[in-house]
Order: sequence, then C-alpha cells, then structure tokens
Amino acid sequence: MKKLALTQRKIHKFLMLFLGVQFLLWSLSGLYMVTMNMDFIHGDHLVKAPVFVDLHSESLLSFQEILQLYPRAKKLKLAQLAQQSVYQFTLNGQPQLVSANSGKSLLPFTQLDIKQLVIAQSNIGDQTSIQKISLLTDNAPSELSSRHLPAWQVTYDNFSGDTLYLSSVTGQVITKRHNYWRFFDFVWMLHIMDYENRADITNWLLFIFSLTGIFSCLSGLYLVGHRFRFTAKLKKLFTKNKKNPSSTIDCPIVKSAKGAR
Amino acid sequence: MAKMALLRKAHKWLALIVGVQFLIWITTGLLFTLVDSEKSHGQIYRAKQNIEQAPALPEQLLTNTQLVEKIALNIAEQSIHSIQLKVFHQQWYYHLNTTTGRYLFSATTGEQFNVEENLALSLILESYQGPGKLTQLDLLTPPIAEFSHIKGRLWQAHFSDEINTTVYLEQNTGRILSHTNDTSDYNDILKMLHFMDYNDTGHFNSWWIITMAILATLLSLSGLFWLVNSHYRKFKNRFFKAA
Repeated sequence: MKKLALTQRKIHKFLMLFLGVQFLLWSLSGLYMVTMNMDFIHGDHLVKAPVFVDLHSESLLSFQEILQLYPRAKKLKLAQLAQQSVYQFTLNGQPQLVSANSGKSLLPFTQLDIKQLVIAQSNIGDQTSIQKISLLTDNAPSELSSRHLPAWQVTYDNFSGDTLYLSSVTGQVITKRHNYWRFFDFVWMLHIMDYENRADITNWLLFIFSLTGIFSCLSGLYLVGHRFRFTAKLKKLFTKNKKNPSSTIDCPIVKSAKGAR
Repeated sequence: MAKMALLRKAHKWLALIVGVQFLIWITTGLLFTLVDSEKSHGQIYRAKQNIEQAPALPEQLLTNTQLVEKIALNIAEQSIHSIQLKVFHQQWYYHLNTTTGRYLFSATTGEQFNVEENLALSLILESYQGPGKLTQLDLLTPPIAEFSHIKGRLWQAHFSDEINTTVYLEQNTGRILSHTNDTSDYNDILKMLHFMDYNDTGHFNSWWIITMAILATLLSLSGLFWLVNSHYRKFKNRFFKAA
C-alpha cells in the first residue's frame, strides 16, 4: 500500500509538472466565468430597454400605403427605431429604411445621425465620452461578426471601454462590447485552449491535456484516500469480512434482499 | 518550514473537498472535445426548409387600426417590437414579434393563426428526413424545461430512429424550433455536470459552483507552490550545498 502510494505520488508530481499551470488556468478562467453574470457580459446594461411600436399613432402609414409607394418592396417590416416608427424592406435585394410617418428614406446614415441614434439607444451615462464614430466596411474587428458588415462602430472613452455597433441599414444596436466581455473572451480561449479562433472545443490540445489531466487527478484522488486512511480502512474492512463471513449478514441491504425473496 | 507544512495540509484538505468535482470537470471537459457537434445540434435528420414562392399580395391588407382591434384580445399593445408581412403556407400574415412571444395574424382577416394537429403533423414530417416513424405527438404548455425562453405552446413529436429524434414546433408560428436526440441529451447531461447546473436553469452562476471554483483555484495554487518549492530545494541542494 505504501509503495503504491509512493508511485502515485511520483506520477501525480510528474504529470503536474506539465499540467499544473494549465490546471491553474482552468481554475482561474473558470472562476472568472462563473462569477460573471451572462447578461452583464453580453452588455445588456449598455442599452435601454427595448422600445415598442405605437400602432395608435395617427400619422403612421399602413403596410398598404408603403406598398403603394414602393410596389416592389419585399420583406416589409414595421419596427421602432428609438423614438420613431420605421419600415424596413428590401428593393431588388438592397435593404431600405423609411420613416413610417412620411415614407421618406432615412438612408444612408450620416455620422451625426448615428450619434443621435446611439444617444437615444444607449444606457451609458456620460454621452460626452463618445470617442469615435466610424463606419466599418471591409474588416470586422475580432469582436464583431463579419456578417454584420457594413456597420457603425461607436467607441466610448471610459473605464470599461464600451463599444456599441450599429447596423448601417437598420440603425439598431446589433452588438455591445466592453472590457469585461473582452476579458471573458480571453479566458474562454485559455479555458478551451483554442488559441486561434477561440471557438472550437473539439481541438487536440484540449483532448490531450484533459486526458492526461484525468490521470493526474485520479492519482491525486488516490493520494487523498491514502492520506485520510480511507484506503487503509477499506482494506481493513475487507480483510475482516473475509476472516469472519458472518459479519456480512449485518449488512441491511443483503438482509432486505433476502427477505424480499 | 512551518509554512510549507501548512501548504501541504491545505492542499490535502482542499483535494478532499474538490477532488471529485475536479475529476468531473476534467472528464466532462474531455467528453466535450469528443462530441459530434452536428449530431448534438440535432441537424442529422433535419430536412432543409424550402423557400416558399410568395403568392400575389391580397388586394386589401388589414390596416394598422384594424390589426390593433384584432390583436387587442390576445396581446398587450405595449409589447410589440416589430410586425413583418410574411408568407406561410401560401397565405399572407402579419408576423408579430412581442415580449410575450411570436404570433401570426392573417393579413386579410386578422384572425390569429394556430397550428392544428393535422398541420403540425405535416410540418413536422416535412422537416424530418430520418428513417424513423412518428410514434407520438403532444401539445406542450409552458413552462417547458428545455425551452424556458419560449412562451407559447409547442408541438412535440417523437420518432423511432436509432438516436430517438424529437422535433419541436411552435404552435403560434408553425416554426420548427429544434430537433433533439440522444446525443443532444447526452451533451445536455455533460453541460449540467460541468456547470453544476443541477436545477437546469441554463445559468452557471450558482453560489456552489463559485465556491468550488475558488477552492479549485486554491488547490491548484497550493499544488503549484509545493511543486515549485520542492524543485527549488532540490536545485539549491544540488548546486549550493555540494559546493
């Protein structure tokens, strides 16, 4: 028993020489992820509560009226953009946005339009901290899915480095990022060990580390058993029962099973 | 040296408390790397949806005021995010996206659309391309554990294939929500164990996982210190005491 414990100790120590740092990274990144509220990480606090369409508004054009103005409109949708009602649709595959009161096109947005839209939608207290408003057309930053392009990026000069992304065709906030999200993304990368795309959990490196991790964990658990003399007690119990078979009858499970028969 | 003894003791006791959970984390982590994502996302027997050829628009669409009157019975007005004109099964509808769910109202009569059993059956069979046969069809009323974000009723269909596919269809919209199967169930069990989410809340912010994560961090830290210290001592003995 002692010899086995010694080998287990060696195994545990040897494996942890390679895995120890990753174990610490797994624990720390896991701790960060479980302590963070997901709604917070998603940046829900950065924008105001969703707005609703006011169907009672007298000046609101109907679907029929919009179709008379734009007979070839497809995917016609009435939505609310900040304080005004809008119709979104496509014309020959091109996305359009018109005021639901006048039917006039709101596109393309100017930088000033975006500033007003972001102030109306954002929940970030100090709007004077807007640092930069730029239209992204070709290269999406890693924190924005490229399917959203072209999009407007609004960066804030504040502690949490808030950045809001607005659709260039609907004017709605589509993505919210801040430093806590960025750090979450970074520790997620450390956790799943996919250092390139930060997305693939079925990678070889993680497979090999977790497989060897199981062995070092098992050897550690054996040592726990040994240290707290669980193994010794089990062994003692086992040999005692062998010497004196009558003692097994005391086991209530065996008794009840016999009774059931 | 008393410090090292304390560290060793801490490592031992921490291992006693979090050791088994650590093993569960690593084992489920390993199994995650082996899960076939196509199967677990239920795509395997899911037929691709055909894009419908839109019929001509009706002469007279319901006006906004008429629509308001029709929906007032079912939906709070201060809850509509958007309304889209949409075709479903060759009919035009107003598709309402609201805080209480999604709804379809006929664009001509304003009548609310609901998937009846026969239609549910044909829509579900349309979306399924596996070898199994439909064995059971039920209408579920929320709350439904796997779909806590869906507020309407769901049609649930079981199929007798080798992976026990289950298909879910939204009653209010006729939309196929998802295909699930044994692999996705297996994946759900792994997630439950890894996130210690035994109540199936879909969150991993419980106080017990936070506690365990703190203890796990301390376990790793104490182990690493111990390891570094023992190697440092060996190193020191070899090169300095000998000299």
